[in-house]
Amino acid sequence: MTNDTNGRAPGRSARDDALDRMIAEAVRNAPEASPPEGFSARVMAGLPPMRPSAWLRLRLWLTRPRSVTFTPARVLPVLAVAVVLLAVGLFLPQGMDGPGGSATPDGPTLSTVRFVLGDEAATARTVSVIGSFNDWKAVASAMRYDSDAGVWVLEAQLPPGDHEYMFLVDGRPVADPGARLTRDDGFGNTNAILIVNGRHEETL
Amino acid sequence: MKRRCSLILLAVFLTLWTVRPAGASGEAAEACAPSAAVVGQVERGVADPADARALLSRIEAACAEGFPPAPFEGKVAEGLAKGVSPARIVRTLDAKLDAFRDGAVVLRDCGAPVSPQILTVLGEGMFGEAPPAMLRDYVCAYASRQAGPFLTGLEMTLLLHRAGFDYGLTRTLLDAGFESGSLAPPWRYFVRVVLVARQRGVTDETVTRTAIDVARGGGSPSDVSARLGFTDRDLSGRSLDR
Repeated sequence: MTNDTNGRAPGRSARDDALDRMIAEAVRNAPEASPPEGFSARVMAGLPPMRPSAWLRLRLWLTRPRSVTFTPARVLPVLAVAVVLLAVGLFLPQGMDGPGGSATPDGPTLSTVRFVLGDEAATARTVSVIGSFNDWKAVASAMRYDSDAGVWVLEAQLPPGDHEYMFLVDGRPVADPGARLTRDDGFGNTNAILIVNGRHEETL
Repeated sequence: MKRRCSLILLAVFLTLWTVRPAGASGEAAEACAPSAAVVGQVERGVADPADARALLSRIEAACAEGFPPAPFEGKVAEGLAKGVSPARIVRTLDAKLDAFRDGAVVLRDCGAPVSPQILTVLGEGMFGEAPPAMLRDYVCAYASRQAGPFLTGLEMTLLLHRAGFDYGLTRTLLDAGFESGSLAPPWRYFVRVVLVARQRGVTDETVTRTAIDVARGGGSPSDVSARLGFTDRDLSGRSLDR
């Protein structure tokens, strides 16, 4: 906006300026008076309510300082519950194998299984049973030779489940000739399948 | 003792705890790494580092595809224990991985329940002698069943197949077991009853008919053997002639 040479805004006359000065003088000289009682409240009540946004309310709720009092009597039970929940969270999933989960190898569920391999001529020097139950480790299941019966024998404690195994005769894998359930091992050999079904139904 | 704090601090703490790197606990870093036991076996049993690397990489590949590593680690340990060459073990692991992939595809196509146990049993079945068409038929036929009975029926089917039991008879028994809700875990080893019955001259058809009656009544394989005239003691290996 540009003013004329008298400093007057365009479209305004000298009369307009005089009227402004007169009104300003009247306001300055008017007696001071307090608003009527309840005026502010009535004005505020007349305004439409303005609800802050959900995000603003959440931010205010989160950032509002709170006083928390710690006393040993209150802290200890909370800590105890937290420790229990943590322990449950850490260890429970590992124990939930479900119906198809592997059996626990703990004492009460183990069954005694007797492995026997005939060798009347006593030609073998060492014989072991290697299987899924001993991670295929020969040293874990070395058999002893029963010279009276002419057989190699091993009694092992196995958990319930179906296990695959072979004999290891002087380092060579040999299939169990008496096995009635077998499976190709993918290497050209035949594993025997041993089913252990619990304490009272030892093996098949 | 009094402290003033805000819930935003608590939220920040919980968020950091939740999104903390899993590797901090060592789980993620080790999730797809072969177990220390099998690594030790490979290091002791395989002279050429390239062969050792090839074996371990197959375990990592299986794990990376979401398959349980244990069956693959076990196959490595089995091959080394039997004196199989590393190259042959690698080929077998590749074939096994393909079988597990085929099993996963069947489960997905049929909308069947999936769990590490089901993946393992089905993958082992695909890797073994079981016809893929038979396994697909089983999976698709009972895909809507709960994971527990589904797994039991799958294991039962595979063991019966290995015993040469007719799949048609297996299906009639499975239908009865699923419909009556009696397919509990003991049925997994129903094959034991079949083998003993055969030894005593009882036909597979007779065993199946008896088992269906028992299953419809909510019974177990022990009840089947009792009806056929032999007891649990007869199922013991000690009583079987070899």
